Amino acid sequence: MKIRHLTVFTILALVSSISIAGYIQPATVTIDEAAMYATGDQWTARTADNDVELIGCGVRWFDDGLGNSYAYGFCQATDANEVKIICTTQNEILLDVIKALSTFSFITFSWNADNECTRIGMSTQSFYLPLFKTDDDSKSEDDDSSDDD
Amino acid sequence: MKTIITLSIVQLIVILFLLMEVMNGDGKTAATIESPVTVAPSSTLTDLREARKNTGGFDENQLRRIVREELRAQLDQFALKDVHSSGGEQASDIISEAEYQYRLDASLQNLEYYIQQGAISDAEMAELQAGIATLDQEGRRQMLSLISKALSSGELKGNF
Repeated sequence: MKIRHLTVFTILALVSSISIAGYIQPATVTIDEAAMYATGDQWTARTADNDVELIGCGVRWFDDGLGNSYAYGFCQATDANEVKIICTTQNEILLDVIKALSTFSFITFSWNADNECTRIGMSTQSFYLPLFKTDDDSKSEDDDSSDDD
Repeated sequence: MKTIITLSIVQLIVILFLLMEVMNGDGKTAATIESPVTVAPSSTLTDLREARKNTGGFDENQLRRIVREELRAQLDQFALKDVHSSGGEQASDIISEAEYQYRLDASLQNLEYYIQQGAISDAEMAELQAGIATLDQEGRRQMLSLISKALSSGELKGNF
């Protein structure tokens, strides 16, 4: 009887841990060379089971020394098969999108035949975030819930 | 009989109303033409002012000509402003054509050199980009396109 109770308790504890983690939707890096677009979220790429997968964007600002300055941005992605793509842009609207990217954003971008970025999209959602909870946090929550009982 | 008299009075009132509207409309047209003339007088307008003084008003063709002339003058001014504002950003407007060509060739040769080497260090990339920064927008676009293609294809290994 005790074993049966223990089993039920263990299953409930596991279910409770999963449910409090929230919905997750990892997006591995995907590059479609024919359709010329790439997608993926940064955390999934960073924690991939390989050392090649990556996705991200950046901006560079320059002063030409003649009183003018300019900026260009780039997005890059490499998938698990080591297919790599880089596009660049001087478009101010696309540069604004790049500046709006956050640490754990989902990123999607398209490019043309000259490797110029023609579309940059981002999405910041809870389901792209890593699980910051530690084992200790889970244990203390379990303790709290048992106290409530 | 009463009906006919009533209708005649109504008709008279309508005619008077329309007459007043037409007169007001003439006044408005003259005022509309006067305001741009005050802001930017042109020789055409001065001539027409004189003609107006002599003849006591404009005919339809004169009014059309004034509007056309003024619009053309305004459009020319805007076009000139556009050329100067966009040109100010262009490196090729500030430096000579020969100097610009030299910079473009230097950037291209550097990139070709790094592609031949198969790799570019971060410091070399920064130097290359600094050179690209001195080009105009089209030059930068072309150079960035070449670098992106080289890095994507694996011809050149390095970081942006």
